[in-house]
Amino acid sequence: MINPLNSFNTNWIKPVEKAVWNQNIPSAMNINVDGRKITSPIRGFGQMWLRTYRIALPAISHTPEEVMALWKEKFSSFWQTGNSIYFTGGDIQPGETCLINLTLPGGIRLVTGAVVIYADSTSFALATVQGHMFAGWIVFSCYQEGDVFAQTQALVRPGDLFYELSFRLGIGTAAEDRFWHQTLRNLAKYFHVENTVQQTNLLVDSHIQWQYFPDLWYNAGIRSGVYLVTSPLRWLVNKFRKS
Amino acid sequence: MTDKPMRISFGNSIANRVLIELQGFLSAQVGAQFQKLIEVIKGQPQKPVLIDFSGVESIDGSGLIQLAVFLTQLKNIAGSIAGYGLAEPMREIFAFSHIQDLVLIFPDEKAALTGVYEER
Repeated sequence: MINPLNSFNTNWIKPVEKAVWNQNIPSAMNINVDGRKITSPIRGFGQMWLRTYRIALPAISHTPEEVMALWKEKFSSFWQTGNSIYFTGGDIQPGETCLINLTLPGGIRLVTGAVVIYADSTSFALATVQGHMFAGWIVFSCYQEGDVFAQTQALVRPGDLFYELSFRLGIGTAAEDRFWHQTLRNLAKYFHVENTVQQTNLLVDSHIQWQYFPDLWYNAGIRSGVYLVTSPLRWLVNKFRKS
Repeated sequence: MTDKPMRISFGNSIANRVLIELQGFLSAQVGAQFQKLIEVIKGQPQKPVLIDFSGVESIDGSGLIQLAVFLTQLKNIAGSIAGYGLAEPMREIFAFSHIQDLVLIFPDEKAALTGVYEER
């Protein structure tokens, strides 16, 4: 039996309020992460949802620990084309910040981030940063229930009014579901398994928390759009500075 | 991680409050037990809820999600929740995850009982 106090010390992030991102990845937009508050589903704007996606990996010879180790190692490669995640240390450890570059329907770019708040041999958890579509936690886990299962579970509130509207209209939920279904199917394919994803949704709290309306200011979608539109201007300014 | 599974004791013998004792390792498996407990509490007259966390040995990411779901639902039903007996590492997790927005934390049962009535 492992000392539970050690598991607190090694598996959980040390208390921090804000994400730190001080890298410059040339192939990515490096915005909307550094200095942003780490969110919680308890302090988000919209309705609280628990969304669970899982896929069975029948007849594989790997343990949940082995599947998780591989999932962590190749995490970004299982995402849909056009979407990337970069970790500060290149590894999924408690306290690591990650930069997320997403391509939304219509080719819209959205840059945001998350922080690893928990990790062990069969699971890890991310907390999103302010401005992300959701205020909340996403837990990735592998476990044995007859077959080995790989699971993504998100406890989230849409982060602001716009994201809440996209959820209510079904646009945000459809994109989210498509993303995680594809990710889990890609993971399964790596183990030569073709299977469907099982999904359950639970509305935990239907209340809107209007006190978090000001979080709209940090909306990563709007800020990413502004950043892209003004990039020619930044290019010109940099050119003048150099000359 | 500890290998001791989660146990929940639900005491309702004291008329003016509901007492829940959590023990062991808080993980994904506790979700079903929490949902059963929510159904039991839903069927009762509204009373403040006290939660004894002193038996909690550890928690993982899935356990944090299950706890947040449980406390959010419980707060909507019961109104006031007070907790006590938290080990220091659990306090830290409650603070950075903002779980403490859902449950008032006190050092012991007596203080929790006083505090939860003041809150109401």
